[in-house]
Amino acid sequence: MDPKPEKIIIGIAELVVVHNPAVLVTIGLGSCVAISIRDPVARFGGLSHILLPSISEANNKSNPMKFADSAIEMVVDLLLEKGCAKSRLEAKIAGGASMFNIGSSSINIGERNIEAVKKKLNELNIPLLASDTGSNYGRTVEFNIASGIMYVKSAFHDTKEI
Amino acid sequence: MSDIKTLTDFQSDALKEVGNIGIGHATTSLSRMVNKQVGISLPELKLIPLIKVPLLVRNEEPVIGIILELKGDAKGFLLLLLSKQTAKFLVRLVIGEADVTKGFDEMETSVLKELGNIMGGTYISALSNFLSISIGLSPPSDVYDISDAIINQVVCLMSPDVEDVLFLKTQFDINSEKIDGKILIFTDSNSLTKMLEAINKLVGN
Repeated sequence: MDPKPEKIIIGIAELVVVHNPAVLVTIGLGSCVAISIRDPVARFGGLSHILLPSISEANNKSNPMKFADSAIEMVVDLLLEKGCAKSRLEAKIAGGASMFNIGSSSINIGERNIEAVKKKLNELNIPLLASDTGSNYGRTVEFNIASGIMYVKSAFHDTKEI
Repeated sequence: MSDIKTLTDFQSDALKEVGNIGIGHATTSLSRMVNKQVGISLPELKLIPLIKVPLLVRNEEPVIGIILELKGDAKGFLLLLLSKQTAKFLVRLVIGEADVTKGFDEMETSVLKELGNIMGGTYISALSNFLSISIGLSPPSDVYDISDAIINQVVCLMSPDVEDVLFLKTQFDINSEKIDGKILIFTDSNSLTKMLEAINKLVGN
């Protein structure tokens, strides 16, 4: 067993790519989605926290880490730069809830985020190993680079290991 | 639409004052409902990138959130965030009882939504009257979940159209006792132009 690995907190519209050992954490996902991508052999992995589906639909494209499609591309590029093999990359995702419905915002942004993430992973041929998405509650994610396990915590449900 | 990135001291003070008046009215209405003296902290007001807001209100604990959407000349969201204990305390003040050992039943939730509704309503009517602008309000929604996640969803909902927000945060107390209650107001920075024009008119510029 490794000593207690360093925890790195990733905020909204941020992403991090690191070598093992590390635990990547993102706290309080509502409609946002956390995406982990990992090369189990090279022992590199990344986590990103996106809030919108697509950079192509955005007026302001200055922060590619905000969007599902551009953030996934960034993580993959960073992993490849570190010497990871594209064929070994695998993904897990969590989030995309709709915690409350209100006024004009009935379009479910959580669902749209999940769809956009899946579409991009599919396009890049990265298998989606597991997911815990949708529903109506918030989630906190801890992704262990060493084991590839994503722990999904919530206020009133048991912690899931995916 | 011009997007204002910085505020002058005068604009910041004026907006703070306007926010203060609005929240003052809102707490007066709360005070009437619970029949106690309700005070508020000086509002913290910032014009910041929307995605930086979560850093200002970090809280991993579950809270009751009452959420109202602002529409019209000022677009955004008004949130009332209460710890479970505070929410139960307020419910007890209104209807005489509340079981702290349980979650929130329909009756309790509707009391809290009504509190949010009245506070939101008085806030926007004070703002509308004072600035002579027109602001509408959605019916309240309620959620009981991780505070950070509630903020996260509000940020997601605003993010397709909004880069910067005028963010106002204030704490309130009851009978001078600090309670765990916050009012957060997100106003889309595009609405600022209208609010600042109204302020200028008011001071005769």
